This record gives sequence, C-alpha cells and structure tokens, in this order.
Amino acid sequence: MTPRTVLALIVLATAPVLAVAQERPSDDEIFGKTYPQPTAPAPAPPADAKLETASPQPEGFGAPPAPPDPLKIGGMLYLRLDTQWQQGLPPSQWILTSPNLIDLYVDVRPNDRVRGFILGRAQLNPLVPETATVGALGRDLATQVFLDQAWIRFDIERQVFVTVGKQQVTWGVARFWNPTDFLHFRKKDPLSTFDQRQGEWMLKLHVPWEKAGWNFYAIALFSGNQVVDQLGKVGGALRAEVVLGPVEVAGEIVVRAGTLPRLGLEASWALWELDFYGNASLGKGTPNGLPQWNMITPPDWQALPPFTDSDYVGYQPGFAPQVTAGVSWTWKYDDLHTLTIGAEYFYNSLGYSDPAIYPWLIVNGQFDPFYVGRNQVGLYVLVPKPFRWYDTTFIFSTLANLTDTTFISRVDYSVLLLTYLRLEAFASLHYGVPGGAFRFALQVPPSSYFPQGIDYPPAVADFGVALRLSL
Amino acid sequence: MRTIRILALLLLLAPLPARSLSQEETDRVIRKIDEMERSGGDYKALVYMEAKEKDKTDVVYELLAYRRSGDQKLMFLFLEPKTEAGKGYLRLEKNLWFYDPRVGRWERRTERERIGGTDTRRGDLDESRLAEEFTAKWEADEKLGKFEVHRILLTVRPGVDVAFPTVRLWVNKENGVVLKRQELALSGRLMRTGYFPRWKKVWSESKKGEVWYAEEMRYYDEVEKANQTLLLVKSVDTRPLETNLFTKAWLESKSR
Repeated sequence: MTPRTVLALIVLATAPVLAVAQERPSDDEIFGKTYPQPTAPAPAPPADAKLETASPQPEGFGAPPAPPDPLKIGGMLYLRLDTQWQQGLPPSQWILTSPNLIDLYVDVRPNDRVRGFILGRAQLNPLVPETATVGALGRDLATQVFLDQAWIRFDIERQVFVTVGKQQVTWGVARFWNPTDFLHFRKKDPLSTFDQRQGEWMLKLHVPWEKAGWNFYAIALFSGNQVVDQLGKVGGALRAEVVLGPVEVAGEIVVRAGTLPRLGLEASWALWELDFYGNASLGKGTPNGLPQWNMITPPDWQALPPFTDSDYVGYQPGFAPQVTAGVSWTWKYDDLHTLTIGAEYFYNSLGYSDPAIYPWLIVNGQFDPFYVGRNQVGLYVLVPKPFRWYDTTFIFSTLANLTDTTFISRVDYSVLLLTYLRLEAFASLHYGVPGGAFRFALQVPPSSYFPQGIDYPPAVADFGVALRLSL
Repeated sequence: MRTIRILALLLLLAPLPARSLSQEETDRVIRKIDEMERSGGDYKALVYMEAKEKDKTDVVYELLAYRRSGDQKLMFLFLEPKTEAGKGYLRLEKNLWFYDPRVGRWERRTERERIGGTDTRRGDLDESRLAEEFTAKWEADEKLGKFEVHRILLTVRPGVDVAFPTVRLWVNKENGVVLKRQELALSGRLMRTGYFPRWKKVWSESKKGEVWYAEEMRYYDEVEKANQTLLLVKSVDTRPLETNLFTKAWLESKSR
C-alpha cells in the first residue's frame, strides 16, 4: 500500500467525522449572538377559574389532545416466516408456516373525554390449507379475521374512567409466566416477543386515587371459556393497585361462570440493584373450569384402543396455587451500555408429573407445552444496543420444565432499519428427554387402530424471521 | 532594576484574576437555578423535538409534558409522529411507568429512561432539583461566547438515581440561567452536551412569581457524534391541571 493510498484511506475514514463536526456549531457561534432577552411576564391569569373563558387561551393550548380531525386510521403489517426442524427429518420436510398479521385500527376522539377504538386483525397464512383451523399441537395457524379490540371509553366527572367493549387488559408483573393474567383466558406464549392474543369483552370501571397513586378497578367479564349468553354467566373482577415507595402491590379477585373464585396477588419491588417480582394465583379448582386429569393407566399404543375414557378421571382440584417469583439485575458494563439478567421460577400445582398424559391432553385440547409442567424455571439475558449497534437488541432465553426435564433455549434478534422498519429473527433449540413438553414426540407403529401409525418426531429447533411496520 | 519595575507595573495593570466563588456562593447559584425553574404548582409544556440520528431519517416529535411540584409527579404524552402518538410515561414518586396499549399492560421503568428512544432524558423536561440531587463545586469563571459565566461541577449525592453522575454547568453570571451543560459518565467520559441559548419566563399564580424555562435546547451525543436532538418549548401553561390527570387511568385513556 503506497503512502498516497494510506492518506486517501485516512481522508475517507475521517470524512464523516469532519462532516459531523461541521454540523455542530461552536460555543461562540451559539452564544456569540445577541442574547435574546426574556419576554415580558405573561399577565397573571384570573384568580377565579370561572373567568378563564373571558380571556383567550394561550396559543397551542386547547384541551389536550384535541386534533382538528378526530378520526385517525393506522395499523401494523407483520410478515413472518417460521420453520421447525424435527428430529430425523431432512430440511426439505421441515414444517413451514407464515402466520402474517395485518392490523388496522380506527380511533375517534370527538372530544377530550370520549373515545372510540376499533382494531381489526387478519392472520393470513398462505402456507396452510384454507380448511385447516389449528396445528398439531393446538397452535392457531390458519387464516382468520377477527376483532382484536372494539371499545368506547369515557369518564364520569373525571373520577371514574369507563371502558366498555372488547379490550386488552393484561395483569401480572412476571416475564414468562403470569398466572394472575386472569382477564385473558388464552395463555401467552412466554417466549414470543409479540403477544398476539385477542382482547376480551368486558366493562371496566377504573377509579384512580391521584394523590396516593393508587388504582381501583371493577370489571364485568363477558367472555371466557364459556359463552356468556345468560346474565348468570357474566363474570366479575375487582382489583386494587397500591404504590408504597418503590414497592407496588396489587390484589385482585376474579369470578367466572363455571369456575371457583380466584384470588391474585402481585408485587414488585427493588432492593439494592435487584428488582424482585412475584405473582400468585390462589384458589380451588382450575382457573378456566376445565377438568384436571388423573391418569389411571398409561396409554398402551398396541392396545385397541390405546386408551379409553376410563383410563383418565377428570376432577376439580382442591386448593391449587400457581406461583411465580423472579429477580432481575441490570449491569451497566460501560458508560453507555447495560445488560439485564433475570431468573424466574414457576410453581404450577395444575401441572402434571408424568408426560405420558400429554397425548390425552392433546386429544382434549388442553396441551400447552409452556404450562403443563409442575416446576419450571426461566432464565433470560437482555442485551439492548450492544457495542455500536444502537438499533439492535438481543434476547437470550431458556425455559426448563424441571418435571419432565425438557428445555428450550432461544435467541431473539431485532434491528431497526431505515428508521421505521423492524427486522426480527429468532432461533430456538429444544433439548432434553424426548416426549417431554418441549420435545413432544409420539411414535406408534401401524396397527388396526392406527393403520398408518403415528410418527411425530421431537422438535430439534425452530427458526423464524419477520418484518414489522407500523402503518 | 528597571526591568523589575516594568514587570511590577505590568502586574499592577493586569486585570485581576477572577475571584473564586465560595462554597456558600456556589450553592446559592445552584439553588437559584432550581428556584427560577420551579413552577411551584402545575405546569404544562408543548414541546417540539427533532431527533437526528446516524443512518436514519430525521424524526420530528411533538409531546406534552405535565408536571406537578410538591409530590413530584411527571407525565409525557406523545402527539407526533403517528407511530409514537399516544405513547406516554408517568412518574409517580420513584416509579416511572410505561403503558403498552397493544396488550393493555403497565411496565415499570427506571429513571434513566430515554424519551421516545431519542437522546432526550426524563430530567430534561422535569423540574430542576440540582441542589437536592448534586453537590456543587465552583471550577472557574470564564467567557462562553459573549457571556460571562460560572463553570460549576456537580457530583451526584449518594443514593440518588440520575441519568449522569457528574454534570458540568456554565451559568450566566448576569441572570443565573444555565447556558451549557456537559454530562459525564461515572468513568469521567463525556456523554452528552446540552446548549440552552434562549430562555423565557412566565408568570405562575401558584408560585406567585416567574417561572423560567429554556425555550430552546440542543443536545449533542458525544459518543455517537452524529446524534443530536433539538427541543423547542412552544408554549407553557402554569394554571392548575385537571383532576386525576397524573393517573394511569388518564394516560390509558389517551394511549394507542
């Protein structure tokens, strides 16, 4: 390399810096001009607030926000492509899905205290036959169109804030498992960075206590596992949130038709550099009213049939707590960057100790790999904006089902492109005992009952990529 | 001997070096900054924010900042751009809350949260509490452009959570407003520089006095040199805010 080439490279390398330096004015340029004198004091507003209308509002200050056009339209386009590698299958046979989401909303605010909002969502999966409704393990894969939210909100004397209609309300302070997320009767995928559960129909009364920072809620529930088609099936919930210094505590009670009352407790607080949190769902029976199963005899896949109804006894359990406790620590590893490490434990008395029951749960639509274990642990590391990647975030997560000793580890990558376009990608690895929750597998040789046999190999890994754009 | 006389004469004629501020005088300067910017009641500001970041198109934000003295309540609500409109932050006591309307969930964040992903911090729009949060040390008197200023170094008090543990201020001697501010990390590395070339004041009924505010703020990221943020306070209102404004309920009702 000649000296001239080196010089040229140095000039090229420093060119952006020079350009930047030119954009920034010097102290003298900023402060060398005539210093603008403060304007004369504004006239004192009238002491009597009732007289305010006698003088015009200062420019830019109507009741906020009162846009000229009360109607706003927007949404989100979320294009996704996922695949799963199952053991023994060549890549050409890996399952491929594309559960794309299109959100469109209409938001109307005729004045500062009345608002209506509708969010419609279409899930379009061009890689699944139109006749398909759900996947093998109960995941919604097919094309469907539904209302995610449709609500009207107003207040009564600025004391009671009312929201009626289909709306999103998520409770719980944990990262992976929130057993107190009572108002959603669908469970969240703990590893997903996007919670795509629909809102629920309800009437919510929110009474804030501004001085103390406390909140009280009374809610009538019109959706759940049972169709609410009679007055007696309307559910209800009460909740209080209390802030005491750096501690927030919440307590709630929920009653739904077909279930026993459930009590929820939540707390989050900081101690030294650690953030602690906990959720507890306490009560008898199952939160959704569906039966808990007692397996009398494990399935015999050579028998005809492999299992019968008498092999399983459904019941409503007695006291059945579900408790999550977690802690996180944020480490500032240099002047500009942090990473957060967290751990979470989930005790689920409604989980199962024997994975042999999983096929029965699948048959009954009750299998959820993230919630069938009795003892589970989650670990995560959040790495936002590492090094000089200011628009990039990494999330490393591992969930362990200690009951059946299966694990899933996942890395999520997210980067903002061209100011507004977000690219997301993930890869997850399943490991542990085949047949467990995170490595569910079923091999049944051909028989007169299953002429084709069943060959569902355990998952090895998942991969996904997505583009997200707000409309 | 003649040379010595000339030198002595020159010394006598030379301008006297600036007298250093005593600790009491330095503390008084800092307390005056807090007092000038304190609204003594409710405060609402409409803020225009222009963020320039490396390899990105410029983004213009507009937001409302609400604050209430006494119980240290603070709230931001974004009005523009459309992708940010409806997002808000609420600070109650030591907790900073963020609402995610997509799933209807509240999350608690730290005090160091950047606003809207820009280089603007919560403290940029909050009430000045320098005397409460920092100890001050006079460094020098000097000129900043055409202004005579005190240069004062602030060091965070133990147990106080602020965005930057060390801050250097250039304070206008004439009227006591801050003209320039450097923010340094714990290592001493310069992280951000702020300039406040234009100040205004409004009458506050609750304070029974004037409230000063920087009408123009320019922040330069000293690590990623291409990043800078311009804030313009378009208007300020110090009249009492409506009931139950500093609540989750109010912010939820505005969020999207």
